[in-house]
Amino acid sequence: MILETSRFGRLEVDQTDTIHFEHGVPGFEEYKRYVILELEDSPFAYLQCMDQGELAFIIADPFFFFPSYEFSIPQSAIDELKLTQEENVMIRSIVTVRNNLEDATLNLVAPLIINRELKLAKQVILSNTNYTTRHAVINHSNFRGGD
Amino acid sequence: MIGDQVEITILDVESDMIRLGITAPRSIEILRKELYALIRQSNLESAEQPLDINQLKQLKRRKKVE
Repeated sequence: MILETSRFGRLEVDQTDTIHFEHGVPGFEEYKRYVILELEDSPFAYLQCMDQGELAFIIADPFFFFPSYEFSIPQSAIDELKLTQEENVMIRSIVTVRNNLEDATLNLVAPLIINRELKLAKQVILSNTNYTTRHAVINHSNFRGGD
Repeated sequence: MIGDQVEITILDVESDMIRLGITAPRSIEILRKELYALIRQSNLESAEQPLDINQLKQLKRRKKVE
C-alpha cells in the first residue's frame, strides 16, 4: 500500500510489515497501525503511524545504549501479545529529541514490546522501576563510536 | 468487588493515608494514573519533535514513490 507521510512523502509499505498496537500508545490511543522504518547505519528507526501520516516516533534499541537495561514483561502483556518464544520478542524505546540526535533521551519506563512474528505490539508501562522517561544517550560511547 | 474478578481491600488507614490492596487476574493491568499521564506526556513530546531531514536519505529497504 502507499502511505502518505508528512516526513517521508509517499512511501510504499508492505502490508505484512504492519504492526498492530491494539490499544494504540498513551496519548495516541486511536491509532493502531504502525510500520518500522529502519535507518541505515543508525541505532535509531522511525515508528511511522499508518493511519495518520503526520504521526511518527523515533525509536531505538535500548540495549544498544543501555546494555544492562532489564525488566520483566508483565504477564498481561505476554498474554496480549501472544508471546510464546523469546526470539520473537523485540524491544524498542521511544526517543525524545530536543535539538539534535545527540540530545536524545530514551523512555526506559515504557518500552515498546513487539511480537515480531505476529506483529502485535504494546507500549508497556513498568511499575516499581527506577527507570524514567528520559535517559540521556549522549554520554554513551556506543553512540559516537558506532562507525 | 468490581465485577467478579477484581477485589479491592483497604489494608491500612492512617491519619492522612489509606493503603489499598487490589487483587485482580494477571491479565488486568493496574497502573497509577499519574504514571500513565507521564508516559502520555512523554509520547506527545516525542511525536512533536523536529526530525533531521537528512535522515530521509538514509531510509533503507523502502522505496520512495514518485
